[in-house]
Amino acid sequence: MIFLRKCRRLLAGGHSSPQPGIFEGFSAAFAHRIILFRVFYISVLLVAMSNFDTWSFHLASSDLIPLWPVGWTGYFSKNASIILILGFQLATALLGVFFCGSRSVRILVFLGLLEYVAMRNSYGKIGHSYHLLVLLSFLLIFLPRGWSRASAARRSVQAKALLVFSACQFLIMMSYSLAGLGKVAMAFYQMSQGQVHAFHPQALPLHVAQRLLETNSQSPLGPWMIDHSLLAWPMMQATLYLQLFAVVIVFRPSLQKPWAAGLILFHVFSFLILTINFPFNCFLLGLFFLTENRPPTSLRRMLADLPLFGMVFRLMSPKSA
Amino acid sequence: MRSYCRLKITLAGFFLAYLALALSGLPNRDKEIFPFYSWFLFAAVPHAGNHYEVRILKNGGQSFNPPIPYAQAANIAIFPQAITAYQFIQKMGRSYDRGDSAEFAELAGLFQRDFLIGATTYQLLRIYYDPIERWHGKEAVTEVLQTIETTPAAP
Repeated sequence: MIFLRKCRRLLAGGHSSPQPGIFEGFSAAFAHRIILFRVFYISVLLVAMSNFDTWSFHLASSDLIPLWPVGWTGYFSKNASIILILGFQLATALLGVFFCGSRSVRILVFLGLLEYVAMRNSYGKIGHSYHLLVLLSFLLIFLPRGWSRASAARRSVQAKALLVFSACQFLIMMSYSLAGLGKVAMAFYQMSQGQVHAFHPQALPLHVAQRLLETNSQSPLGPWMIDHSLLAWPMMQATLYLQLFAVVIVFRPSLQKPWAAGLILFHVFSFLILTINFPFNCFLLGLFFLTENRPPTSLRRMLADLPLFGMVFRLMSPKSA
Repeated sequence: MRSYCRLKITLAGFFLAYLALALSGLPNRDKEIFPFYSWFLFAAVPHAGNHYEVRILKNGGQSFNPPIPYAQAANIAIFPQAITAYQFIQKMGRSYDRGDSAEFAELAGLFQRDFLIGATTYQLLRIYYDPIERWHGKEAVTEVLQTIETTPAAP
């Protein structure tokens, strides 16, 4: 426990205020999270319903190359298995909308999503647009009993629900930090090999050219980006910074909204430049980081909280003088 | 308070397990442990090097000269512009170059089944190019690895 507390202090930069949800406006924060968790379960139903038009594709497709969660499909006919998975996900998503207060229902929602996403990815290649949704539905299983009744919930229940909320935030931002870590680690490796690396002005143009060649596709900004490497360079560096330090932001509330907005913009540009679309990630960033009605933070405070560069602003602030 | 601490430790355990499982899949990109993904997307900057491509020679009664790249074969390819198709072809090419004939045969069978419409004859090529130069129209250096003739699917 002491180790976890020390980690939190370290990531908070030793200066940032703690999560307002934990020490200030405890009940208000809790009431907000209740709505947010419910919206999450409505979004699971949205996934089920927005994929109705893929049912015929799944039924017409050839046999699955099953990932482990759908390994059992080998014992049944392909179409029976697919109907079972699609029906189960739809039924559990509906249950989740109405009864997400029950842990058993949340376990079923998680299993429904796990089976459905595993089936979608059982065609020889794994895509990652729904992974966060599956993992978040797993974390939400840990919501304490009684969390869904704002008025009746005891302080200990509220604290546990807020902890699960923070874990969800951590999971979302950890995925971005891992993406950033991968790019930075590989940049140092490529640097050592004398190759173009992520810090090089040609990095983004190379990514764009390769992606458009791979898919034989056109993107609105991609061709322009290939020919303007000096403008592409700051975008690539900003992306690295946003991604690498994303997980730190969970512990620095003043930066959560701008960071989430930055990551949503990153997804928008990823589509405009590379034709890569992660709509559910944008939704989850918005839901878990942009919905809270928090008092505005001063720009000075935000700058001081910045990872890596915040120290410079803290030294320049009048207080430290 | 005790149950709060227990929950905190459980969640920390989940994140540690997640990291262990996600990062253990890194050495072999074809062995990802679903749903524990490392999120190492676009980690390496592409550079001049070998890639693999499928080009269609024949489909049904129609022959193509020059052969059509899979990504441009709209009426023959099921997913011509999907990144999944590109990545599947890379997987096939890597298994060919490793000399893993069993895996290659399996992947070629799956490719016919899931990515092609009708009986098709196609080439698997190894191509060497610099992405930006190729984007600007420079020809890639190509080498045919194998010509594969698929049989019509059973009714």
